[in-house]
Amino acid sequence: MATGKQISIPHDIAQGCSYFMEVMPGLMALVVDFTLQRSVELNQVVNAEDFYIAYYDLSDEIDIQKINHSKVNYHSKLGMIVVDATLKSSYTPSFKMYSFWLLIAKPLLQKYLLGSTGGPKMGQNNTIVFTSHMDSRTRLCILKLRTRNYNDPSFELSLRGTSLQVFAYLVERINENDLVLGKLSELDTAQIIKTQTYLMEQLLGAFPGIDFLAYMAGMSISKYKKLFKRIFKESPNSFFIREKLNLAQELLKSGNFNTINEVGNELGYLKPGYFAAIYKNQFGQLPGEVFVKNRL
Amino acid sequence: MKEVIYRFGVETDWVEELAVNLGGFVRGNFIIVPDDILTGTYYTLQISENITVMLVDVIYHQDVLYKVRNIKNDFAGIYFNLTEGDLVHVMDDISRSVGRWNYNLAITDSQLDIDFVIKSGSKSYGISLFLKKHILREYLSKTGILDEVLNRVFDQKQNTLLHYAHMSSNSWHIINEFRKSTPGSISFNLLLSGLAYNLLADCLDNIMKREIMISKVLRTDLAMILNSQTSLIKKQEGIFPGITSLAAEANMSATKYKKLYKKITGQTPNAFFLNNKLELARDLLGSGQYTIRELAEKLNFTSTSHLSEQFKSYFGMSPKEYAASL
Repeated sequence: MATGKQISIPHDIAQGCSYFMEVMPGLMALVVDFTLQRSVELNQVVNAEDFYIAYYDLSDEIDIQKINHSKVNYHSKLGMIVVDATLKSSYTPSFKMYSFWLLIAKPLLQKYLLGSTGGPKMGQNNTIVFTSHMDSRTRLCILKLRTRNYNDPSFELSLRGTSLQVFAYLVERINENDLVLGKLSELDTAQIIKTQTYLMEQLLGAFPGIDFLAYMAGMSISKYKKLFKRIFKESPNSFFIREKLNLAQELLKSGNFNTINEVGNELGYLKPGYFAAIYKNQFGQLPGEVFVKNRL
Repeated sequence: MKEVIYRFGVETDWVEELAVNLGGFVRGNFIIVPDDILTGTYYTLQISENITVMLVDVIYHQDVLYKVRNIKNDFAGIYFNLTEGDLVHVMDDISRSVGRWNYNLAITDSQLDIDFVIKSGSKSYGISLFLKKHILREYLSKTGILDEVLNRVFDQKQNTLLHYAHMSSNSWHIINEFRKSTPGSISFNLLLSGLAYNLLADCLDNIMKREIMISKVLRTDLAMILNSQTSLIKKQEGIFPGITSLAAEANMSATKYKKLYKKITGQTPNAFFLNNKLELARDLLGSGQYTIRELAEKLNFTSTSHLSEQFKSYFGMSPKEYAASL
């Protein structure tokens, strides 16, 4: 997909299963849907340096992969990713059943960013990296679009409306979280993202340690810690714990476990009291309040 | 009463005029109106060369008579109206109360000059879309409406495009979600544009389902039907007067009356009458002054269970459930 500084909308993968449209100057929407019958010609090539990509994945945020019938592994991921198009290859978005993309020209997004003075923040060289769980407003919007039939005369209007809405919500979130980072090196950013993705795959185990992560990123520990925090607004450790507890919540509700202790053990929390305490710290309620017992 | 003559269009050259006629001025996308006339948000945005949207979210502190005098013929208006309070239609200098009319979606031709009064104290929430006829036509032709029909509908010499309807629950939800946003915030114009497209999409869906029928109407016919509805509203608590009597009142044959009525309102007179009764029932129930049995009697339902049955099929919940949920 990424050929030098050019990106073409994923033609190879998306062939016969995607819908592409220019929403307004500087804003393009792409729907990748494997149930889509009609093929839309995709030969749009844009200069990656000029765009941000916002990627929304509706498939389950936590994959449960069964290995050998007995061992189970969890692959957690964030449903919403915004990056410079040049950095897109740092993420390998799964072309699952359904995903929604916005391609946003940098000058357009810059127009909607508030600086600390309240005025628009100018300059096109700012890096934006934003990965998150999808907010419910955006999710509902895209879910609604998903129920639409591509052959309906109203589909184009609906896609236009949805894209603008999703873009508006994105603008709000970026402004709330002050995600404009100034100029960051592409390589550094990609390396940091790589470690974040790694962390998401290791949620059952213990925190791999800053030394290891920094080594993985090819940076000094202090540089790694600083950069990670700058991009994701929290330390690697607290990011890891938060995601671990998100997974814990999913598992508690899944109905696949007989006791809360089993869930704790699955995630490597051997002291029930500690698990309950940090869980309550994040969600404001005890694991027992959401736990669904295995009915088998 | 404040009299405001104004015009609309896709091009926004009319905004300044409207502001001045309301005694106010334009600041950015906002129209600032003196507080003694109305308070709230008056906001316009041209989304593309073919579409402009206006948001009016205000409380009126005076009676305001709006007189639409469009000078352009190239566009149609789609109005989503959530005004609470009495709205009075004025045509040929005769006012007709359409207070309990309950239509909250109107599609009208720019050629049709409809005047209306909004009473002091009314809370008005409305989204107006103005779109070029050629683009509306393009959308409509995609829905499978025959060219021949479209030619007739858009024939300016013959008639004007007009349709009143209930907005779909989907439109209502779309607007309700939009109402959470703050006018003037950084994402507001994006959300407003998104709203316009989503509402258009929903309109088109409903046209597909033939829940909205695009049709033309003669001015005189419209006046007759408005009259007829006004009289139905007056008799709202009583028994349905019957088509024969209504048709006679409107100086038409029963067949013509029924056909025209349905064409303009998308409903039969009987359904209009019943739905209005049920809306009234809901309001009265909300006031907490009546029991369901008393209501059935007051509104001339044959029995309490008849009221309950109709109420449930219209609102999706029984009067008892509704009262409990208040």
